[in-house]
Amino acid sequence: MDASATVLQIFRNILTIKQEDDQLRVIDLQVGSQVHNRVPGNLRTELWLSCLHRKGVGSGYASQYQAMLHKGISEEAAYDIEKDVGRTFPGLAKFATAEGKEALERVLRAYAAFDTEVNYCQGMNFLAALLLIWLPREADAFGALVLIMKDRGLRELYKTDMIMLQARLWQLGKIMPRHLARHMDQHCAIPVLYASSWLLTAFASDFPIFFSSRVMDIILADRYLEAMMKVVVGILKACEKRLLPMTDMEKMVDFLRGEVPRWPHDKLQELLTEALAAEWTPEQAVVLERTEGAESVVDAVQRVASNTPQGTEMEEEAAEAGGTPTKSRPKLASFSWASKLSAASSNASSAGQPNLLQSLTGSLSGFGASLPSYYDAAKQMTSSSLSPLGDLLGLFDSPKTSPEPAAAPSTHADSTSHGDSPAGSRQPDSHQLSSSHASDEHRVPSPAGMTRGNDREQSTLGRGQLGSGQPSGRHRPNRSDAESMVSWGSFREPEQADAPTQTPNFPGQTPANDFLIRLCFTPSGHRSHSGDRETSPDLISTGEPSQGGDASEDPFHHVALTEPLSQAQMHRDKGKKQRAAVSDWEDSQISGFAADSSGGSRHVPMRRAAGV
Amino acid sequence: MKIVLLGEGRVGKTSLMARFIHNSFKEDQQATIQAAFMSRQLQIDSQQVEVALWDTAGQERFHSLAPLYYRDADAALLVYDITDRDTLERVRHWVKELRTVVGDAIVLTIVGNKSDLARERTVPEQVSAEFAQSIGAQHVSVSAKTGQGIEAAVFNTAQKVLASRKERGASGRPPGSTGRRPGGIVIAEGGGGSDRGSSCC
Repeated sequence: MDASATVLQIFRNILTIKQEDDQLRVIDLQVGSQVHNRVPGNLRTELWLSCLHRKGVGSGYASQYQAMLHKGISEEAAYDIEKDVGRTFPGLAKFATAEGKEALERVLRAYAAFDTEVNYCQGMNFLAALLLIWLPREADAFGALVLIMKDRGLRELYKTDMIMLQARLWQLGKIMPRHLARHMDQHCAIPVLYASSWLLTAFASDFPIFFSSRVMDIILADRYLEAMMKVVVGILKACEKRLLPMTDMEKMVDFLRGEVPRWPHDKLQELLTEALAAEWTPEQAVVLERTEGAESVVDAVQRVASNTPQGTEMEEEAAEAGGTPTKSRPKLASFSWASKLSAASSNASSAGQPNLLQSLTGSLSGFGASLPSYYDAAKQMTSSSLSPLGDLLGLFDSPKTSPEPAAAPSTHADSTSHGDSPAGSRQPDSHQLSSSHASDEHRVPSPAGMTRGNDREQSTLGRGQLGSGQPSGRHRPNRSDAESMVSWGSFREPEQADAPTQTPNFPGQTPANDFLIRLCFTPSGHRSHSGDRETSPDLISTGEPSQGGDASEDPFHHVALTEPLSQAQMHRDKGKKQRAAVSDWEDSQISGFAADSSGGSRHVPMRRAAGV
Repeated sequence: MKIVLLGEGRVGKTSLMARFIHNSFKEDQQATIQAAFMSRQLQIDSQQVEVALWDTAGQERFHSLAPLYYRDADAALLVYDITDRDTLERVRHWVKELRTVVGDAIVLTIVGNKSDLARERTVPEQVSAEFAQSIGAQHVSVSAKTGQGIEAAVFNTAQKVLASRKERGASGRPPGSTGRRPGGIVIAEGGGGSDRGSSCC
């Protein structure tokens, strides 16, 4: 490299470090449903550590780090990792150094050793790097990576053939604004073209660090799917006006992947806040619970290429009422192959011809989704010891004394794959479905007639499937087995005003941690109901501790921005401006909830993210 | 016209595309997680042709999504790194798969990238050239870093596509196919499911 290039490089590095520094020093932190604008960056580290050490789950993983480092991995995985570490956030100073790259490489290698099925896949490099930015201890970053992959369910997307990714992309096409979906389909701009890397990397590969970090705030605390899908839908909604006049697929995809990530900081933060505050409609919630019958990407392409309209809400309705999903569109190739295949496979296993299945499955590989693969995924999910839903930063697992089964997330956060909490009206057999423990992935429905094998898990899944005689809880589809699963609001609903909030026991509790615990786990007031709907707005104190004990069901609602944050007062004042700017919007949102507006004048209503 | 870039990770697919479309090169190109595409107008034999280049993720795991990108492609640039023998092996796999899935309907060009690193070359040019010849493909050496050979590689490939279209009397392609679709109606002859499935993935 000649001298001028070297000088240029030095300047570039300085500039990068400056920008990076700015991004990391003052942040917008998403704690549950609330956004803390312009707080010191180290609070994110504390928040993530809290998530990690919650109930000792993540710290358990972290403690295995050294052992995993010593465990060998396949040569291929090592090669793939080595290839990618230099190509992960190449613009960030942290990963421009040898130490940064080596740390990333070690964390990825440890994960590959830990999870031999998923091993290493491109995309994980961005997740690990994002974690390393905020969690400087490699063991913590490793623990957090395992936590989001395994417990939060991200690894399902990465498994062989990426079946679950395809299912999620299919869901996305159905939960985005319908007219926009129709418009984009018409021009072949289907979700796989813009959303794959978003889903796989929690936006880290396309969007700025501050954006993906804030998404990660939620993923670490909660399940992955909920937050991610909301953000993708939020992006699409925010771009709707720009996308509708476009008739060129290239332009649309380019706009979404190239232009949106470069929007100004405040605009993106606002987008996130709005996206996360949205609540699913019953129709969307139904779609999100369903992967059975999902269209593979190849099918989707065939559909848009032949201009067959996407199934409508009516389809869902029919599916739910009729017991089996009705297909309004012609069955597409791989779907019908898959059905045959599954039928063949169940015959095969009973007739002692296991090879038939293998050969058939083999014949489909490479062509995207096939139902048997869904079964494999589903089986895997049920048998894997995904952590219970109650394990959510402790925000959501205050002991439930309510007899109402539908709204009782488990408190047995440390138990493993099988739930022991009442599952609600939809699942007759709550124990097997382990609904409130299950990650969303647990509920991958599988048509009973097509199951293969005889594992207990399978019957479990069979019961959980959509259309297997569910009661017609159409208007509250996400309020039963997991009202918990679909909405954060329901996780953190203390049923009684005096229910003691469980303060989690953090191993390695630090004073800062302590603050976070206070920040996050202050006992909350009672929860108000209006029919099925939560009615209280989330409120955030603007400085004074909240006075209204009855204000909200939200455990964050007392967020007392007291001493620890006082250093951040300056930053927060800036944040206030931002909040004020959106308060009109918020007010309209909140009035929609007919809130018990006990927030009083001292409270600026914060945008609600109860659905998150 | 749709041209898809296939090949092992880090052989330089994204850089190649950036060079062709923007005539730029980034030393620290980020890893590609999902396919992307860009297009450019080319003047070929007094004909304006819009060439859409599709960049794909290199890792094996993303293979299940690959048919989406190559199925209605007119041509494929199969990229390997001249300093890494294994990447040529991967190209061989791709050729097999493409031949199985889309048959001869796709024009293939074998592209040896990083010719600026000639001193570190581990794949003798003769080996790859012979391989290309054996499958009826063109072979070119290029460098995304210096830009050497890239324009010609795409140009020649596009030219060959036009020629083969003429030969086929434009019958092999459904009308209205813009080349920009991520995929399309199956055009592989005798494209039964099991047929295609025998591809290597």
